[in-house]
Amino acid sequence: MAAVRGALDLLFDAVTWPLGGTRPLWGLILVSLLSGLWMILLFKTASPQRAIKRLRRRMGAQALGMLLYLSSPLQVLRLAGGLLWSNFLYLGMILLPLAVIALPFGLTYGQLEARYGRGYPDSGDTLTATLEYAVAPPGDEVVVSSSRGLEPLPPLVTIDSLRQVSLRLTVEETAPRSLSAAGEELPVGRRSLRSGSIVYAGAETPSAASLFRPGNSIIAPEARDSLRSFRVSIPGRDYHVLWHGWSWLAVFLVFSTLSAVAGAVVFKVRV
Amino acid sequence: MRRREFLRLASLSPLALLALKSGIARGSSGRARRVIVLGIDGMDPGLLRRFVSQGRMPNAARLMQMGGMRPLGTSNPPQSPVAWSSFITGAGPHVHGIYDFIHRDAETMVPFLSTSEVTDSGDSIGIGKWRIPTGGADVRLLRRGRPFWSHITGDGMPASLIKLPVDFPPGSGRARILSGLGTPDLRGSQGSFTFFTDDPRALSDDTGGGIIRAVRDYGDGLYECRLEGPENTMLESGGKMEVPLNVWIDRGSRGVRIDVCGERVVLGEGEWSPWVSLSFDLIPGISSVNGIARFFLKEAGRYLKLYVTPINIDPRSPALPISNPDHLSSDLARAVGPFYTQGFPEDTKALSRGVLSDAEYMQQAEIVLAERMKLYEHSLSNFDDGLFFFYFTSLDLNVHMFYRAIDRESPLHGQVDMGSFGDVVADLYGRIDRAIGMAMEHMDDRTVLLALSDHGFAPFRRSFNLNSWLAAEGYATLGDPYSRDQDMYAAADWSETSAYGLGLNGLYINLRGRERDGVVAPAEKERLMEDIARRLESATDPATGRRVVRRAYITDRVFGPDQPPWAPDMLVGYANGYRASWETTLGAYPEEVITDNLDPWSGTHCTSPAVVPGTLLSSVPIAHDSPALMDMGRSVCSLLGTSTRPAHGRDVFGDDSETRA
Repeated sequence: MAAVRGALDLLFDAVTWPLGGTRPLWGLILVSLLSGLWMILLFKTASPQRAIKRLRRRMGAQALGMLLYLSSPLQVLRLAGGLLWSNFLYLGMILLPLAVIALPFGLTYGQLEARYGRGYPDSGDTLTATLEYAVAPPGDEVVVSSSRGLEPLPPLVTIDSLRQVSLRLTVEETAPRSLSAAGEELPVGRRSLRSGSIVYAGAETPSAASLFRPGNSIIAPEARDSLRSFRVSIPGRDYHVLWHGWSWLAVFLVFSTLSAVAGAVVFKVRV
Repeated sequence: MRRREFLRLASLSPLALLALKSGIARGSSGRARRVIVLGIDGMDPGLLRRFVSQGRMPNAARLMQMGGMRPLGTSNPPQSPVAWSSFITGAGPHVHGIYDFIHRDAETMVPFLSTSEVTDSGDSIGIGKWRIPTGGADVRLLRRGRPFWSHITGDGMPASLIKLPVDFPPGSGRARILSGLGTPDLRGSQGSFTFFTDDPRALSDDTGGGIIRAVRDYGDGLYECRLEGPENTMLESGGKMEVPLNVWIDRGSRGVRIDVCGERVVLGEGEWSPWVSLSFDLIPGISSVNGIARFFLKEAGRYLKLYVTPINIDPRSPALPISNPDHLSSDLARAVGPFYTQGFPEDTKALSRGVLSDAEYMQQAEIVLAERMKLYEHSLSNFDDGLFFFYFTSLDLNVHMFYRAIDRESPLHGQVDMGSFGDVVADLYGRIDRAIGMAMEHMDDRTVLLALSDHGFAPFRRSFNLNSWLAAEGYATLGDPYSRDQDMYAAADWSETSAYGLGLNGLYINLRGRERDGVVAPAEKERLMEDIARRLESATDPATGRRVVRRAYITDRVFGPDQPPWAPDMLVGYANGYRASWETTLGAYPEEVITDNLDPWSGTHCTSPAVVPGTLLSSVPIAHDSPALMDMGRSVCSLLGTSTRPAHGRDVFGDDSETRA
């Protein structure tokens, strides 16, 4: 998994490398535009384009027929039924290309969320951390044995029925930042990449899940006896576009849609 | 020292201040380049002089030396929505249409908020239990009249008005506006808190100012709470939207974890949370309304006591229009963080109902003031030219609540912890002084600074039950004496009632042909009003022997005969120490006519206008001896040399002899 993660990091670094020195927004826009493009091209490759073309013509004819035969309710009903069936056929045709797109889309989504969706906590910020145990949580005094760059704040709220302990952490100047709990070193850090960084908490060992959520905090269950997970509320960030604050997802959706539409026109993709 | 730095320092020296005083602030062309107006709600001229003389307000003292200070004539009645509307339009209620916090619909006798209304477009498509509106909700500002800044923006000069009172929703002109006083919370009220508790002693049927919800821990440490939001306008059957709130209590560490809308908030006893985003589903997964709230954990021991602030409109994604342009509120929130958007941010009702103690209320008030100062600092630093107006509400609401600390005759004075709260009012004036100082640092030789207030303050020692007085004097008859304490005239026998009180200063004649159950013939109205005015002005408090009403005004004699149908027929100008009781404002008839005011809301300005003038502090000399709030729009336009000016008011800095409207 470490090798896959490394390859993904390298790929996204290479794509965003030309804009490495600029604001993160430009990198996000570039990846969004490229994502829209590859998604539409992948769709073209994986879908039966001729069949879609024929089906769309038929659907157009059925819709037009309904307008022409408005005076004949039976005919309208027949055409409407045909149109409904054509829609089902269309959905069936796009299932395979959507399945093909899903995996790379999931990886892209995770990378973008981790690179552009979270802000690195500043000194003085307060984070909320939750430790989940496989067994009953320990008493307050032994939950956090030590910490670096993170100051645990009282109270430590123990929820026995959920086997969880929640606490607040004040972020200090010093880095790296980590907690020691249940014999584990739990980092809250930033993995520096060529074109930016990925903010993460607790994800030490790359797992299959961490490929889709590189900033995720899930601790691989096979490696831990008592501690099941460590989650930290890492603050989100937004981008200033056209006088509005946009989430990274809004930027991604708008720009990837724009490039997908443009790609469909240029490469004559039937969608 | 570099030349530029020398000039900057020199501009702050006493000589420079003298130069400013001599009129250089208007520049060689006689025009100011920038006018900064600080709207400080409730700054009282008497208290200001006292704190200046005590050396607690050095910046105000400097400003007084530069230009001057005068009491500023307020509106009639001297209520904030009325007064700020007069400031904005340069005219009285007959022009801007705001006579009180609340008006009433004479046909239905239902009171409504005077400053704005939200109406449903009515058109919708029904799909199952859902109702999809085809038009948006119509949010309408009820204040009428042309705002003075339109003359400024009309000349191409910028105008930025932050937390502007009585301007919700803000207009669509060229001015940058963030609405202030009058902006509702997400539930549509002027501020409605929620308090979750399992302490039976804290539960009550009273719904004024907030909701107290009974919750229960079934032994697993979980309180399943539901936070009530706004009405779901997309549900055919209506009803309030709610968000689930799971509160996990750890009595050992005396803390809770609150799981709400995907966020986890950990709080210890006595702690306030940061703003938490809340999302109320109109149609789950499709449409939602966003709000923000803060949590305060009062107790996590034997009982849970969790206070939630009124749910504010999220400035980052406002559910209702709170700024012009639309993105202004989100820009400001991005720069300074989320902030209170409701018009009355200090939760005075929670203090009045005992949900928050004095100390807890002051913590909340401090959060409000700190947020407001950040917003002020940011907005001021981005101000270049034209008009900059910034509104502070803290002085008004906190003096309302802590006047009892400076008023030895207040029935609650003896109960105030003077060690902790004896200096609250003076400290607040000190904080406002720092805001004045910050504005002075931004002044150059063509900047004029005005710090003004809409009214001053008076003690509120005794509550006058106007409706009970009307009943005692024979102007009202009670059909159901057992309903005396209920709102909305539940006890009134309208067929035998010729007058009723509503709002803080309003008195209405039950006029035939206008009121739903009107009995007074129009021909009798004048004589009846004169009779009531005479008897009100001679009414005395049996406990003190003092006059209760300084003057009772007949509205159309003050403002002219053409009054809108919602205007009160009379305005009751209370004497110093007296005010309409809370019960009277919503149509109850308590047994006693005059009672001690035992509410922490111990300062008032809803008296006769002569009792509570406002304050004008200016960096340029004030030419007139008796400036009034409604002169200020014209005066600001005159300072900036606009080509057109408001039709009403006078230029108090020049020799303009225009008469007031």
